[in-house]
Amino acid sequence: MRTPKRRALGRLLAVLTAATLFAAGCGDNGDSADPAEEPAATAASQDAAETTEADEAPEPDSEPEPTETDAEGSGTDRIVIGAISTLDGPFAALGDFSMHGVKLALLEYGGTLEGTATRDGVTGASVAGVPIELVIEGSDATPDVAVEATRKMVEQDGANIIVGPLSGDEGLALKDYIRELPHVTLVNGTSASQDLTLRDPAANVFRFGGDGAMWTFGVGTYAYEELGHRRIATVAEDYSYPYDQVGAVLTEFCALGGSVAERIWVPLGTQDYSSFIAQIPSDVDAVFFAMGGTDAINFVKQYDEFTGQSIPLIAGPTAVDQSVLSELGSRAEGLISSGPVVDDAGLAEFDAFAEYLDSVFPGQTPNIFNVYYYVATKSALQALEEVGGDISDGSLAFQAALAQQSWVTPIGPVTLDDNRQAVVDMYLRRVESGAQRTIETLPKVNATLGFDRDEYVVQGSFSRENPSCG
Amino acid sequence: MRAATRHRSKPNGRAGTTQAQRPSGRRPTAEKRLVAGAVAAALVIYIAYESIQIGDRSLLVLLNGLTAAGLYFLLASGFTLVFGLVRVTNLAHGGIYLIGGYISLTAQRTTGNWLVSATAGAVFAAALSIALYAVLRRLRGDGLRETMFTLGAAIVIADQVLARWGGVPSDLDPPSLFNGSVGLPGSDLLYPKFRLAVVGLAVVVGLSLWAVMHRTRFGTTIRASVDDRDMVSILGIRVELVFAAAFAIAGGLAGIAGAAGGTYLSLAQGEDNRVLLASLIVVIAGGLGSIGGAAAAAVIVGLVEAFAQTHHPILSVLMTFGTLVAILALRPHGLFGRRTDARS
Repeated sequence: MRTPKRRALGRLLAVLTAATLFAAGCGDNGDSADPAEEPAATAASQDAAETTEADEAPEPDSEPEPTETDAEGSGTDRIVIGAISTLDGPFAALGDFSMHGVKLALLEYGGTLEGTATRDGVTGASVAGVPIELVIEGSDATPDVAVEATRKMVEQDGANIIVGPLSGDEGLALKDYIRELPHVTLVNGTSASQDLTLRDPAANVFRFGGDGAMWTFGVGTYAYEELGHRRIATVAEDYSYPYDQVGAVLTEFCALGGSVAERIWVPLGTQDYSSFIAQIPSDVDAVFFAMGGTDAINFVKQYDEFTGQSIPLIAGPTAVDQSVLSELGSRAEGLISSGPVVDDAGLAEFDAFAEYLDSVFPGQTPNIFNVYYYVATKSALQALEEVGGDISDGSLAFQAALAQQSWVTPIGPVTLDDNRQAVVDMYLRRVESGAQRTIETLPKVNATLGFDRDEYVVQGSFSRENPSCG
Repeated sequence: MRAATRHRSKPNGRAGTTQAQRPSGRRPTAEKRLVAGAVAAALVIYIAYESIQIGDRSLLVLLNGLTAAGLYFLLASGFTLVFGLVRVTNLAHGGIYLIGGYISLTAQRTTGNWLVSATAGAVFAAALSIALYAVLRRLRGDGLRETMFTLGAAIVIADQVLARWGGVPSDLDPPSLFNGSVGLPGSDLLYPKFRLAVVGLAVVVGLSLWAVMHRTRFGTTIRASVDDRDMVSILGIRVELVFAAAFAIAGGLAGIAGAAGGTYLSLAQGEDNRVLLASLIVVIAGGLGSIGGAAAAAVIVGLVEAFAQTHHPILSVLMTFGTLVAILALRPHGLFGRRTDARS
């Protein structure tokens, strides 16, 4: 029945399938989704390809610093910033916000937007006369895709600075990858795993924002002292970032004498929370929930439907971030949380940023993602400016300057500690009329939440069971 | 093999999907009953065991499982219908669910009426499904190309949804009749009315499907086409139209499921893959091509998932797949599946 022609066709299809699967596997970061790749990225990859050919050293580990090859004797002829966020998958919307932040910072350095789409780059930006190129890559919030996308930017586009990633486990994976490439610098976006900087830090990884524990600072104390809660339950996604949030709340709450009745861990991306809500003991004073994006929206909606919020909720920082507040609607009213961004901070820098954001990307308002990616990119650009755009020493001077950055960001002053982790202000806040209102400003929160560093680090990373809480 | 299947068909055309409901007409009846009994017994024992552990919350969890089963059935019945007829694994089914839901969302924001919106979503999804079939029929007979096409369509649909509606998750408001919650007896928890309505919807859809398949000439044609497409077309029936209708029904059901899922859950990027996986599990467990199998498997998967999530959430995914493995170990073609013809 099958003619030789058909068999040949079948074979061709098999090859095509393999090729497509391969492309789907490693190209999930969006090349396939975006046929019209930015000219900037293409140009950059060509340049990088030439460089690689000349060096005949495609291996990242053995590769001499591309910056050295770029630098023809004196200084650097261009700097490539690779921005990575979640442009596909469940956090795709957050990826858009992050890229707004990156572009805003570059626009301040003479750049022009190539277009309005997320993957449209910025051209013409420069620092101290050295042109800055922007390469954008996306992940789907999984660590392996994030590493592949970053590897592509470093190896093919010749990225010198990586801004990102967005989610916790991605950050930990990128830390391990970037650590082996001392000439490349990672300036974290919103990845909030504690151990990106707290334990076993990498010399070329910088975080200009809080981690999951810092973002949750003060909530446990507030719940115990002001709200009078003594026994709570927690519901959180089952990975490192929510571990940090639950850990931070319980560390404070239990130190004061509170107890936890039940810790419920739900798989990331759960749609139906009904069976988890059924597990919440009916005799607790409050429920702390730590989730992001879609998960938070689904959880709050279903919690409302199933219990009428008879037991009050306390929110994690991203669960009630400005990026999801409008979708949460009236269900979020009155929710208490801690976090880095409030809408009434009264800072001139915040108001200016909000106005600037709205003027470039109409309708956008500040949230954790656009603010953090902006702060990360701008910190890098400021440090580049201080070293005259020269990273020809393997980025050493640049990284030193970056570690010394100290400036007032739209969400308050930032400085870095010895692990290159930010010490920043946090806000205890309440949702009122769809906006985050400040209850109290918590100044200069550090990575150990004010506890003794050695004692704090020795406790070990937060996990499902840690802290034990009585 | 194919001939054997044909010969065993009953003369009144009560073959194919009928087997699901009426196992008596088939040879391996004793075995089937035994397996069905074993699966049912295992399920009952598991639920009873979990219920004792959960105590007063077990009614709630039971309802949760049935709600999930309702959604799974809406998805899987169409999926399995298409597979039974055309032997195409439609990997774009999840995408059709998602775009149907989003169309309903847009319609609701315009009209404010849930029923009108769900209908709009279903009609759009059905039309899209027919369009897919129009391309698929040109690839007829080449399973690899057919599957590749549906996979490609799934990716295109997902990206179109992202471009048109963005990545911010959103949801539909339930119809006013089913807005709010009712109290559950013996528990301090409430149960959302809309979730109960989803179970009702699934039952209504299931009964309607059964009625259409067994009480109308159209249904008879579909069942006959499942059994022997060539013979049906020799009899002067335009099989292509029957297939297109089956695609339309499958798409429409996925669209309704999208509206329902978008109401009690939410619409977001990545949902298409999640529901595709869920319906694949249900369809494979139930037996490819069997609507009755889809119903039974939807209930099993929904209940196992709900109870597993309550007691060992970390293992819940494993439990779902474990159920699938157990069913396939006992019955390699699914609960009510028949040996499918290996078409060359």
